[in-house]
Amino acid sequence: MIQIYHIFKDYPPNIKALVDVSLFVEKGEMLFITGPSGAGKTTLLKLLYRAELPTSGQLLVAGRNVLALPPSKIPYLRRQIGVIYQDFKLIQRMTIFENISFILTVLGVPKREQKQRVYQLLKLVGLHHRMNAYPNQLSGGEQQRVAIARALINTPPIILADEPTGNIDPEMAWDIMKLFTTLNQKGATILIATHNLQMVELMKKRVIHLEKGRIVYDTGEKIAK
Amino acid sequence: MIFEYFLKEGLKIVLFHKKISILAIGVIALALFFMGFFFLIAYNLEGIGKAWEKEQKLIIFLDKDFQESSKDLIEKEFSSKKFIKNWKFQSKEEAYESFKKDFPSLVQGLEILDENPFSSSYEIFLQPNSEEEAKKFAEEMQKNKFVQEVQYDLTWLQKLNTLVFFLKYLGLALGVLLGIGAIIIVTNVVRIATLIHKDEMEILWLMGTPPSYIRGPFIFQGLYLGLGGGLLSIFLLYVIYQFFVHQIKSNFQLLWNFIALSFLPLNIIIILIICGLLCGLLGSLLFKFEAKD
Repeated sequence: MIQIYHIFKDYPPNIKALVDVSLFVEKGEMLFITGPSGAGKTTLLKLLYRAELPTSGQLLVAGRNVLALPPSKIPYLRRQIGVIYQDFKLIQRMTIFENISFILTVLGVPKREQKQRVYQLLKLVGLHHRMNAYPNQLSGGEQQRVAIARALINTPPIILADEPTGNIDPEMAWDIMKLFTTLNQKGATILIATHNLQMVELMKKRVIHLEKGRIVYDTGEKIAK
Repeated sequence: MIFEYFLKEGLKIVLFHKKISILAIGVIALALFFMGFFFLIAYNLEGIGKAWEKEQKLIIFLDKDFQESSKDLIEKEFSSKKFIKNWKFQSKEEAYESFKKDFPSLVQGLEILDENPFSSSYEIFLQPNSEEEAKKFAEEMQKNKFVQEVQYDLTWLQKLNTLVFFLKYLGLALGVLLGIGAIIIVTNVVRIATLIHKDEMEILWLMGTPPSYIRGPFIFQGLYLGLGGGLLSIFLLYVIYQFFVHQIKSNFQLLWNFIALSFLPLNIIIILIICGLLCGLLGSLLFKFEAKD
C-alpha cells in the first residue's frame, strides 16, 4: 500500500529531516511511528499525503507515484487518505457538522446521508451532542476527536494520524485506539505517529522508531528493497 | 448541492468582510450609476425626439390682416399636397384664449395692449418621411401673401439626435472606464478575503478539495458584489429620476405637460445588472488560487 524508497528530506539551511528512509507498508497493516520530537515523524507523514516533497527518493501510495502526480490529481490522492493532524486543522468559522461533512459535499453525497454518517461518527467519538458547536467552543480533546471523525468520514483506505491521542484522556485515548483497530480489521492501512510508548506497547503492532531522521529499528523488518 | 454550497459560502464571505464589501459594491454602483445616468437622459431625449418625429408638423402664422373668408383659398392649396395628412386652424382669438389658459400669470401684461397681438395660424400635420417636400412647401408658403411666417425647423431634431448619440457613448465610455476600476477593486477585495481565509483554504486543499471547489465561494463573492452594485445603481438612478420628476412637476408644470419623462426600460435595467455581475465575475476571476504543491 505504501512504498518508500531511499527518501531524503532536507530543510534549508542544512536541517536533515529524513535520511535515507525506506519503508514498505502492506495493505491492511497498522503500525506506529515513534521517536523523539524532531525525529522526522510528522515529515514522513506529510510526504505521504504530498504536503511536502522529498529532496530525493521515490514514494508510492495506493499505487500512485506521489512525486509524479500533477497538481490536478493531488485531491484524488488525498481523498484516499484520512489525516489526523497534530494541530487538528479545523475550520473555525464552520460548525463541527460542516467541518466533517465538507468533503462529502465535494463528493456529492446527499445531505440526508451526510447527516446520518456525521452523526454516527460523532457518536462513536462521543460528540454527537456538539454537532452544531464551533471548534472554539470545544476543548482540545474534543477538537482532537472532531479531527478524527473528519479523517474517517470518507472511509479512506489509508489513515495517517499524527499524535491522535495527544490531547485526550487515557480512557478516550484507549477508545480511539480501539476504533483504529476496528477500522484496521475492516481493511484500512493505518500509520500512527505517537509519543505514547505505553499505548504502543499495549497495542502490540509493528513499530518504526525514528531518530534524527533515520529509522533506528522496525519491528516488522519489512524494509523495501 | 455544490452550487448551494457556493451560494451560501459566497454570501458568508461577503457578510464576513462587511466594510470592504460595501466599498466594492459602492464602486461598482458608481460606475453603473454614471453609465445608467447618461442612458437615462439619452433615453428620455430620444423619446422626446421620436414623439416629435412621429407627429411631424409645420406651423404657418398668418398675416394680421388675414380674413377667415380667405381660408378656402389657402386650404385648397393644402389639400392638393399628398404629404399633408391634415391641418388645424387656430384663429387669433383662440390663440389669445389658449395663451390665457396656459400662462395665467402673464395675462395682465396682455391686457395693457390695445389689440390682440396673436396671429391666426395653421398647424399642418405631415405624412411620415416627407421632410424634403415639407421643406420645399415651407419655402413656397413663406412667399404667400397671407403668410407672415412659417416654422419648420429640423435642425434642432438633428441636434437632439446627435446629443442622444453623444450621451449614450459618453455613458458607455464612463461606464467602461469606471467598470475597469471596479473590477480592480473587486479583485483586491477577493484577494484580501482569500488572504484572511488562507488557513482554511489550505485545510480544504489538504483534505483533498479540488481547487475549483476552493475558489467557488470567492467567485460567488464577486458575483454578489456585482449584483449588489447593479441593484444599488438602479436604486440610486430611480431616486435621482424621482427627484427630477418632482422638481419639474412642482416648478415647471407647463414643461411637464409637454414632456413625458420615463425611467429606464426593463432591458436597460437588466443590462446594468448583468454589467454589475460581469464586473464582479471578472474581478473574482482575475484572482487566481494557486494550489500549494
